[in-house]
Amino acid sequence: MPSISSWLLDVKPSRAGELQINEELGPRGRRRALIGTAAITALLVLGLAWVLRRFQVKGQFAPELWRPFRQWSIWKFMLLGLGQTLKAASVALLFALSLGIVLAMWRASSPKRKKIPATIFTEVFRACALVLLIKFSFFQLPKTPGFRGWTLSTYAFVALVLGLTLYYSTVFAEVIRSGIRSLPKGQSEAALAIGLTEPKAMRLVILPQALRRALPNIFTQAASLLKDTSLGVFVTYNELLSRAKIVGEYGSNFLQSFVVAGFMYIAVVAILTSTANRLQKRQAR
Amino acid sequence: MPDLRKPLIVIEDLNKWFGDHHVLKEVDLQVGSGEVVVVIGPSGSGKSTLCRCINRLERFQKGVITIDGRTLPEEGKALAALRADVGMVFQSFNLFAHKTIRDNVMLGPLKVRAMSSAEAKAKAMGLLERVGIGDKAARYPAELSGGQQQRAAIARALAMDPKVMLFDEPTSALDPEMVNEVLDVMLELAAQGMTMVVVTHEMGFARSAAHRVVFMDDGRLVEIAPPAEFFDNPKSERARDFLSKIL
Repeated sequence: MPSISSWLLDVKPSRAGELQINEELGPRGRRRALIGTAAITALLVLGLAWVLRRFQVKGQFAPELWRPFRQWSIWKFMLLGLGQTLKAASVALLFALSLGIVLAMWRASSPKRKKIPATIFTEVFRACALVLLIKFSFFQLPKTPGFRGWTLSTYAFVALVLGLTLYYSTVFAEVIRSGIRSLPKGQSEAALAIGLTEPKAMRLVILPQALRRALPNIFTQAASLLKDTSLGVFVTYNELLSRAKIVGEYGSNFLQSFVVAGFMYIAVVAILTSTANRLQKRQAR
Repeated sequence: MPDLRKPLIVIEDLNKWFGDHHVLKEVDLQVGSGEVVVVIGPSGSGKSTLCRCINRLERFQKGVITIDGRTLPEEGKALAALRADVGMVFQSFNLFAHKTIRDNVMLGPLKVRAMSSAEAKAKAMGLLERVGIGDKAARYPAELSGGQQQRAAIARALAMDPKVMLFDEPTSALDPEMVNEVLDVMLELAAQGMTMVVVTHEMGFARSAAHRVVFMDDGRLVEIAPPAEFFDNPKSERARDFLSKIL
């Protein structure tokens, strides 16, 4: 068996049937592109300048508002929150992706006893507001006092992970299912023709190719899942955003705390995105 | 010579509809053990559909198909087991795009026949050598020419030691210069006594390899005859008309 990484990276996906619009620009096109780029850059710079100006007018650059961030203890407090965010995100990602794969396979299979439950599950939970799923999980979890020494924050963690799993499993299921549907019909026919049963054909031939096609979308949704852990704030989960709020309360500098938290989210998502891009480049090589 | 008294495939009163469209009409055909039957006919005559019904990649509404004395099962493991004994080669090759050529050939023996990895590997290499692409074993399908891909697909089907091979227009998607390398492999198979049902437009192949030619038109078997008889002296008006257009 090849290792997981070679499975992800070494294979060249089929280029057939891929749509590419990448015509080289003519002289007028180049002029237009230049004007467009300049206009958008100018707008962005103006927007940023306006924001910074408002900060200044409202006195948000006052040194005492930023002073807390010169203390390591504050950073530590927030970084621990980031750790909690990453913990919830990775556990939820693991569960949601696993469940999503099963849902996608069941929905794409022919027996009705698999197809119907998977379809209902997907359609119902995809339509729910994520924050409702998390709150509902939190209030519905049976909280037996002293159960395995669980504290309120353990329940908050479980509720957040449960809510994220329910919702994102349906998102991943749809992303993977569209990967399955994008494969030529000949792939499954050839798999069946050599005598593979339908589940085996799915597992050995269809799913590996579908996952690879779905990989860019999976990364996009994983980044979105990571940011949605901030909904943990509604169930008192101690993640990055709720800690930023505490820091803000403590120093009366909400805005500054949220800016710092915002940059932390951006940094983590940037790492995720660049990993995705690297993976894709190596895959396309 | 094929033994026509021992039919390997028996098709009786096969009927198929796509919605209202009646695509196979009361088809009766027997294919003897070791026989090569070539199915020809204008496009839309139902010849590919007939070929695909034999391992039930295409569902049919009426009729019975028996392979080596066993009625074609409706579904599930029994159908999969029967398909394992029926090799199929497609117009568009359909090699598994995420696997190397060798792994394509090994998959069936490994996962359907539960063969050991070493044994499956040896078998795959032997078959790839036999179809002349042993040096491409570590390549991925997208890196091969159409002719090489189709030969790999034939090796993949042969790896299951099938009782019969179905060819669904195996050379129609190939560039002209690659048609012969595939036909050569098929001719060799025929010479070795493989039972074959071949849907094709290659009249040269039909003439030299077929024991019988089946001419289909509008969902019916219009004429069944040995190739010399069929090509030199077609009985039906429609066959004469078809041959006059293509020869």
